[in-house]
Amino acid sequence: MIEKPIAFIGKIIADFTHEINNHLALIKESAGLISDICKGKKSIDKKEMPYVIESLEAIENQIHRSVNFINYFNRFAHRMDNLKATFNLNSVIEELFELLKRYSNRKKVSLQYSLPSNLPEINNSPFIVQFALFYAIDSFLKRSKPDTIVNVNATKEQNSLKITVKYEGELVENSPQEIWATSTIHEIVAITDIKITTNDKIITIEIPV
Amino acid sequence: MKKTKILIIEDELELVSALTERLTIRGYDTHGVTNFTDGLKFIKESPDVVILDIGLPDMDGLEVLKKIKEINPSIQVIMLSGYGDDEKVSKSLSYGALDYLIKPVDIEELVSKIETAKLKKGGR
Repeated sequence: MIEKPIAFIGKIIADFTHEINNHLALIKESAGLISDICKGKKSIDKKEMPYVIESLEAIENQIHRSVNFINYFNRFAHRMDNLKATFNLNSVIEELFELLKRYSNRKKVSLQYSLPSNLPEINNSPFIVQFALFYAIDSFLKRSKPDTIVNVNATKEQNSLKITVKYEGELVENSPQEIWATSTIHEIVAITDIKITTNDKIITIEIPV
Repeated sequence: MKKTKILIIEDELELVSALTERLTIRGYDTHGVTNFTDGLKFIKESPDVVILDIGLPDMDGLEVLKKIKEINPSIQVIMLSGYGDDEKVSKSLSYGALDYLIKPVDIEELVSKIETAKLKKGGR
């Protein structure tokens, strides 16, 4: 049963390291370009100045991008500190979407969410909630067609918070990739009383509040 | 002397710009694009070497490699990959890529591979 959460963490780490590697590649090339231009020179020609400025700006932007991305990853890592914590849904979705951006971009699927402002805070495992959301999103991404949408909404019910993950578009008929065994996922999320209901293009996650 | 024609296909625009400029400084006739669709018209102009990112937004790098080899088998292709792409890297070599580099690349190593590619192309 443990293999599914491990696969989830593995996916996030793999995409994170890949993305950071790309950021570093750009920083390296931009710094290298400045070095190429400046090598053996006492001053920089006016015509070369735009390249130098452009490269310095690229380095600065990229570092900013990397710091943001690392912060999301750091927050994600701390979600595993305790089995129960108080958190808001908005923050865990925002973080997960940011970390899944590379995956969804490659699939050409737009990840979207809109949440009402009056949702109560959740006292549960933020990691398990993210895992449940990942399961839902991943189930669609694995069978998705390009230029489609995965939309996440939430509503407050009497004793629970109901998250709806909806796929908008056509799904691939016979996916060659393994789709997670629904029963295993249900068993994992049930540890913290979360319930999942699966339909063709809608997966509902119910969290007690 | 005719300059070696290089095409870079890599999805990060700023990385393409910096690499293109660095290779131009080193005397190569370099073009950079961020997707295969844009790269196609340069491929038809028969570049000597294509530096190809293994993961592209519009088409998988391996598919692009196959297309390039279909269009012109004499074009030498150097793959750019990240860690963890081992399976794709080994497939790309079996599909005819000359070599590969792991990002972030060392420019002198890239130049050395371009020179090897040039020799290989000349020797065909």
